[in-house]
Amino acid sequence: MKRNANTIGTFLLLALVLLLLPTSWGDRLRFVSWLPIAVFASDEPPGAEAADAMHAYQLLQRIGELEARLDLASRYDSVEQPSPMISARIFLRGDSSAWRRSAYINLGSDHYLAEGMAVADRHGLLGLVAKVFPRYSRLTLLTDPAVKVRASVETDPAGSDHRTDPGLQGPERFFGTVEAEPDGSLYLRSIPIGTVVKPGDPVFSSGLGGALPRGIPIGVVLAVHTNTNGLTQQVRLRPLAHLLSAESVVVFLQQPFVLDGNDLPEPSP
Amino acid sequence: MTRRHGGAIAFSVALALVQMMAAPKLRLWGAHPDLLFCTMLFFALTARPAPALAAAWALGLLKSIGSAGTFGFDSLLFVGLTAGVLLIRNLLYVSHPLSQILLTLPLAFLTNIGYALQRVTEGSTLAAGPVAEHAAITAVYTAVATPWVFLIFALIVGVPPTVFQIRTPKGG
Repeated sequence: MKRNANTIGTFLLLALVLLLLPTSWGDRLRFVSWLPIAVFASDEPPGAEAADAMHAYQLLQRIGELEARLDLASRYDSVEQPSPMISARIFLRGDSSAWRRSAYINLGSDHYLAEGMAVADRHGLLGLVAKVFPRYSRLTLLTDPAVKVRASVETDPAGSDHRTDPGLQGPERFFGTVEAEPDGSLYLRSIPIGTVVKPGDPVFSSGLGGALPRGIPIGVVLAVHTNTNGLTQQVRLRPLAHLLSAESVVVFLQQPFVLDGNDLPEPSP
Repeated sequence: MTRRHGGAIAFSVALALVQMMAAPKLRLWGAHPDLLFCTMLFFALTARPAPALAAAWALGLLKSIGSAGTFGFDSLLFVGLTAGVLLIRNLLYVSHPLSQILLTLPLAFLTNIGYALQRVTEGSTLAAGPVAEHAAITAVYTAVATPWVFLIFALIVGVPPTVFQIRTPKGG
C-alpha cells in the first residue's frame, strides 16, 4: 500500500512538473511534434532531384492554386477597412479536447503573422490566430468559446414600424459580440431589446476595438431570443465559413503590420 | 518491453491522432468522444499501478500536444483519475460492457467539468447550463466508445476481452 502511495506521488509530481514547465517549453514540444506535417504541407519548391515530369506537374498544380487564391483574395475587396492579406493553407484541423476547436495553417511568424489576426475562407470569418510558431500557426475557430468578435448585424426595417431612427434611410446596423457556446453554436449577444432583427440578416465584423478589419462576413441570423434579464436579446447565427472543410484561407494582417512600410516586425529565429 | 506493449503504445498514438483529426468531424451536438480517456481507464483498471500511472501521464502528454489547452493539465488530470481508480478498482466489477459504461459516465462527466473549469481560469465566460449539458453529452459519447476501446486494447495486450483480470500487486 505504501509503495502504491509512493508511485502515485511520484507520477503526480511528474505531472505537476509538466504543468509548471515554462509555456515556451510546451509550445516547443508542440511545434516539434507538428513540424513534419507543416513542412509536408508547405509551399517549398521541389528539390533539384525531382524528375522533370513531376516538376512540371507540380508547377501546374501551383498555378492552379495561385489562381484559386487570387480569386479568394478578390472576394474581400469589399472589406470596408482595407487590410493587407496573405494567403495560407490549413494543413491540420482539430483538437484532442472536446472543449476546443483549433486548426493549423502553414504560415507563421516568419511570414509576419501575429496573434489575434483574423482568418477567413472564401465564405466568411473562420477564426483568429491564437498561437504563432516560426513556420506555422494555430487558429482558434469561430465556434470556440474563447473567441469573442465585435460584430454588427445589418437589418432593413423598410415597411416596419420599428425603425430606431425614423429619420434614417436604408439598412440599420446594430452592434454586439459574437460568442460560441461549448457545443459550438454561435450567438450575437448584447443586442438592445426592441431592435428588429430578422432571420437571414447578415452579420459582419464591426471593426470596433481595432482588432479586426470591418466588414468581414461572419454569419446570418437563424433565430432571435430575448435574454432572461429582459434588457438585451441574443441572436443565433449560422456561420458562413466552412469550418470543417475550408483549405485555402486568407489572413488579414491588420495594423501595425504595414507590408510596404519600414516597420515590419522581425521574423522570429 | 514486449511486442504487445509496443502494439498498445502504437494504438494509443493512433487513437490520439484519430481523436485530434477525425473525432471533431463526428461531433454529436457539438461533442465528441474522448478516446484517450477510455485508454487511460483501460490501463487504470487492468495494469499494475506503476505502468497504469505511467500510461496516464504519457496519454495526458499526448493529449496536451494535440490540444490548445494548458500544457500538462491533461497529464495531471489523468494521473489523478488513475490514482483514484487504483484505490477503488478491487471493488469494481468491470467485466461487462454495461458496467464499463456505468463507470465511465461519472468519471468522464467530472473530467469534462474539470476541462470547463480550466477554460474559465483561462478567461472564457461559460454559463453553467451549457457547460453541464456539453459535459453530459461528451460523457455519454465517451461511455459508449469505452467498451469498444477496451475490446481492442484487450486483444492487443492479451487480456481476455470479456473478463478483465485485475492484477493486484503483492502486498498491495
